[in-house]
Amino acid sequence: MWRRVALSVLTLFVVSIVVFSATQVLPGNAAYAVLGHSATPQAVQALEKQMGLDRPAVKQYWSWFSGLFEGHLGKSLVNGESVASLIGPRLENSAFLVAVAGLVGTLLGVLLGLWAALRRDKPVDHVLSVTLLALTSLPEFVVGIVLVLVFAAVLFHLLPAVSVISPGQAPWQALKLLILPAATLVVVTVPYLFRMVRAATIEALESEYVEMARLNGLSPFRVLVRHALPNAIAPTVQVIGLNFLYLAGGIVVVEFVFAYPGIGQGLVDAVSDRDIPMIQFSVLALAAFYVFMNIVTDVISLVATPRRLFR
Amino acid sequence: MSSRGGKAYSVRRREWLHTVLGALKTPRGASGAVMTLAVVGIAAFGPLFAPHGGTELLGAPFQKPDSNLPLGGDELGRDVLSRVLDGGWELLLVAAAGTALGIVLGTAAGVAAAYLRGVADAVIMRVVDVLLAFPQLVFVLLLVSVIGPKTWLLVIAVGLSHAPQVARVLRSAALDVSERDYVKAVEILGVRPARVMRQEVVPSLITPLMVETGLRMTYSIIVLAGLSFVGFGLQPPSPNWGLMINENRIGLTQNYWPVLAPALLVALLTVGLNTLTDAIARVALGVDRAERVIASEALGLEPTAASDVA
Amino acid sequence: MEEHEQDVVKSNGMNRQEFLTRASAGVLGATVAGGLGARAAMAAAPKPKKGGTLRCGFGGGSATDTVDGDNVINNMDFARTYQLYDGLVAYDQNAHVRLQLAEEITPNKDASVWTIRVKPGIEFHNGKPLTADDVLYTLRRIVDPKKPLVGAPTLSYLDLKNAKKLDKRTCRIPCHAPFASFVDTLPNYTYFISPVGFDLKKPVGTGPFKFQSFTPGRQSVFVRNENYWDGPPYLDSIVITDFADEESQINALLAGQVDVINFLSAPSIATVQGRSGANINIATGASLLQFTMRVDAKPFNDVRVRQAMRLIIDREQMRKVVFLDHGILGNDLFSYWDPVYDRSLPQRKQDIPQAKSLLKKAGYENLSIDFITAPMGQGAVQMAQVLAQQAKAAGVNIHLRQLTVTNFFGPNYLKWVFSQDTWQYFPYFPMVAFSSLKGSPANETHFGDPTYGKLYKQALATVDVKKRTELAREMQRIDYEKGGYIIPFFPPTIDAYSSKVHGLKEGKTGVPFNQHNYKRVWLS
Repeated sequence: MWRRVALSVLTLFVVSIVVFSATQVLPGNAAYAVLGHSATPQAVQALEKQMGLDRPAVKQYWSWFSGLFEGHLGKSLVNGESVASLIGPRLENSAFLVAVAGLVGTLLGVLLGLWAALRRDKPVDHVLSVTLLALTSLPEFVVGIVLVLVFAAVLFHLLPAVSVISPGQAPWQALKLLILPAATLVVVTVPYLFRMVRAATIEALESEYVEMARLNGLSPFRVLVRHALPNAIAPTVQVIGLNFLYLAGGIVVVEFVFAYPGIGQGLVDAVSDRDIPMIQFSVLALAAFYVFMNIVTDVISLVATPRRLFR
Repeated sequence: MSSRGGKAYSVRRREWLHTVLGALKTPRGASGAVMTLAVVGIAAFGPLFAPHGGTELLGAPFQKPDSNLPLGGDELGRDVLSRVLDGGWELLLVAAAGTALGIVLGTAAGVAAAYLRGVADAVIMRVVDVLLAFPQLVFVLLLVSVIGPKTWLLVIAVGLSHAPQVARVLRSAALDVSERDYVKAVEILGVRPARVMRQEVVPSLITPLMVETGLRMTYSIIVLAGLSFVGFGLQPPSPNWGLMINENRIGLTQNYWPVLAPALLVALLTVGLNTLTDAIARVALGVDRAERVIASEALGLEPTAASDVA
Repeated sequence: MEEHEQDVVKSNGMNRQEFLTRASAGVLGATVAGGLGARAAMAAAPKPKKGGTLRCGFGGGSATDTVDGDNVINNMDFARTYQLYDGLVAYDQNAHVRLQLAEEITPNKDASVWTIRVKPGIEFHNGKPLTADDVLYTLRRIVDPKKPLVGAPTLSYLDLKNAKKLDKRTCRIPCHAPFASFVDTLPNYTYFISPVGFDLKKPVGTGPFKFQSFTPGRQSVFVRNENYWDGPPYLDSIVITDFADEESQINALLAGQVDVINFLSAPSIATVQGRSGANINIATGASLLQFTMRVDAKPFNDVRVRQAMRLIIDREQMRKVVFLDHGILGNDLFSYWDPVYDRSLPQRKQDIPQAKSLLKKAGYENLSIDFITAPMGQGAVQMAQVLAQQAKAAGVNIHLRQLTVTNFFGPNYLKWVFSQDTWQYFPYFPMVAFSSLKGSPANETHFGDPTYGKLYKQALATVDVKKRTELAREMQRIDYEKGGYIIPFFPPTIDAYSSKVHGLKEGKTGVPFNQHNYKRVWLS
């Protein structure tokens, strides 16, 4: 288990080097981004000097990296604010969105999956499966735009079309703004969870152990809860964990559509601006989240796996 | 021994064909195939039927459909119908190329890791982990937004973003296969590892490969459409469905066809592919196992972990 | 012309009375009535109310946002800086240069020494009075060789080392060379007056609103300056939020989350007008969105190819398709509202046979060429697509390459052979200084005609307005025949606002809402 953690840290380190090298290899740097239209050669040179971009690559990386140990995450190259102060609120916003979408999606996915498993092959099951299959094939931005058209801008005007959270405002204070982006994410991810839960439940229901319990006269409900479900938990937990991971990747487009000030949007901007400290930190935050979730789901599924099933 | 081995091989060889044909007989398989072929047909042969050039300026921006422009005009007054007919093949080609690249790279890496074990396995899987630590879209964005949306780069970026996941899946499948008797038998005969991999292991992987290809192709299309949406995908003025959805959003309330038509086609294609893949997996693995395998692969879970519990 | 000169020599300043008179005259002239809201406002003429917060949802911003009035970079910075600061001079609603903080800006006989006197009784937000020290501080800050700000190159003529304060409100600045276009250069959007000891963390200016908060890439908040020298504004505060996307802006306006939005594309006009409660403003501005051809690279080093290219474009069709006929037809000359603009030159029209013949003579019969485009402004990419389509008629095959805006203004900016660029409005001579002389900081076309340069130097030493206009006309003839720009039209600036906002106007520089003038805006 600790080996896992150590490997993960190593992975993160490698990720940071890869990202840094990528930004070095690419044309342009933050000085051009800052100057935009005013990027005359002299202005660029002067600004590069100020930003420290004229130092060799290794030196730049090292100064950023060593800064980490002293506790500074660096300053954004394009506006001089500290990375921590810029990323903090964005991380908070994205984390909250992911948490909300993940929770709602998990609940919905699990409940629908269970229901479909119990009503297997009946019309309900077919309808659910086909609809969700269709929904999951759609690109996220299409789902997002359709939701906006229906609920905010054209058909009804119930919900805000744009989810712009003011700086300083915490996301949980602006729940109404989260409904549509969360709904978009839910629509796109529920189908996977649904299928997994349904399949795992069905398989568990048909396992020999459960057959035995049923033959022994236990009520269907008891069979489900005490014998089938425990076996379905481990794979489901893993899928839930991965659902969160998928969400972390999916927020980029959704944040863009809804102008939601999260880390996905921040990353797109940072890449566009070649703002290296911001890119580093955003990518590392996302990668760390991935790694963390991986470990957590592994642990949970290990713990939740009913040992008695193994011979 | 050789005749038995030979017979087993030829059975395996046609196994995938049987799987596919069997899948096509199911309602899912048939409908999926029909949808997919319909869209591929439109994409491939559409340009031959387009009534006008895709870049000709014929009408008023976002004009409503009339006799000259059956689906109305797009943001520059170009014929939507012609652009839709012209706009599929490039997207499909790039998606297919990227998917193919990803499959090839991923399969090579995954099978090699499974078969070689030891250090090679560990190294390959660590690299896979690092690559998987990036969300797919972000990874592609990082590459494309900076070097520029050149077509070859899009193909490589999409391919590289698929490769790690394909490697993972194929590795587990290969591990599975390499444990089977006929492979061990050939090994005992002293055949070189590379040859064993190529002749015995790989053909048995065709079914999981097919499933994986179907899934990956769907994501390639979604990723490319998404890239065009955030501004980094295939370039104007050549019509392509992803770009059309984005550049015509602004006139949605005036003429929805330039957004709806390509969106429907993309949706139809992805649903069709998903359904077909589904059907194939069901025939190959049995209905329930297929469900779990697809659901877990879709999310990036290692299939073996899921099947451990069963 | 006379009027222009007189304003420079003496002025009684623009007090509130004058402003209001000008303003109401301007409403009927400059705003294109769009939607019921505007007409109703003019008919009923309700009385202004004090109070409320104006919520602005603006595009063009990013993490590079700033509130530094002397270092304005992106389009969204204008919105902020016009609230916090004033300049010595400013554009009025007709894009003419008028005195603002300055009471007088006068040259000596050959424009080699300038005297500036600021108006009395003006205070900064921190109570400190505006003096000549602040003027000199600002100018020195901009050109500081250790940390030159964005507007430094065009002030290079000023000899600030030898500038002297004459009395509390007056200073005298000698120049390295005659600089007759100094006043025309000053309304540049990045020459706002900052106080001595300016602190970017707590920015202070003389503008109608005071600084409250600022998060780059997200939002900024400004509150009313009760002490504003031109009379306090009606609004309590202004909140400006960054939007990445036009569609989000429109959705936010229609859903009531913001009150004003800017820089829309032409198709959005119908979208907004179709809804009650929202209105459109179209400014017939004269910002530039021009095509650029490098005169020192093949094939454009042959002037016939440049002329051919200018004849290939069907300007009316391009304007119709990209901007729905809004905007002013252009004639490949810039600075449309400058009194020196030559309206006598014949309007160019598409002439394919002549274009083909010119290309043939130059030896480029079936020309195939790359064109670099980027979404640098509304309609830019669309214009490029129309150009490519129209060029086919003349046998020219244009291959478009679209870059992101960041990449466009990256290391290869100013090196593209055939491309586009976008500019805010500038009067003629400053624009020439920026773009068309050898050594100009932003010379996309690498234009460096020696006669042109000589005429420019002459003009800069000519104080007499009539004579200077003659020189400008000669220069424009060169622009017209030999220049590297193709200016098919001056694009419109399209903004939208909610019906509860009153007093919004549009100017002619292309900066939204008459240079983000919210001084007399009120909410019902």
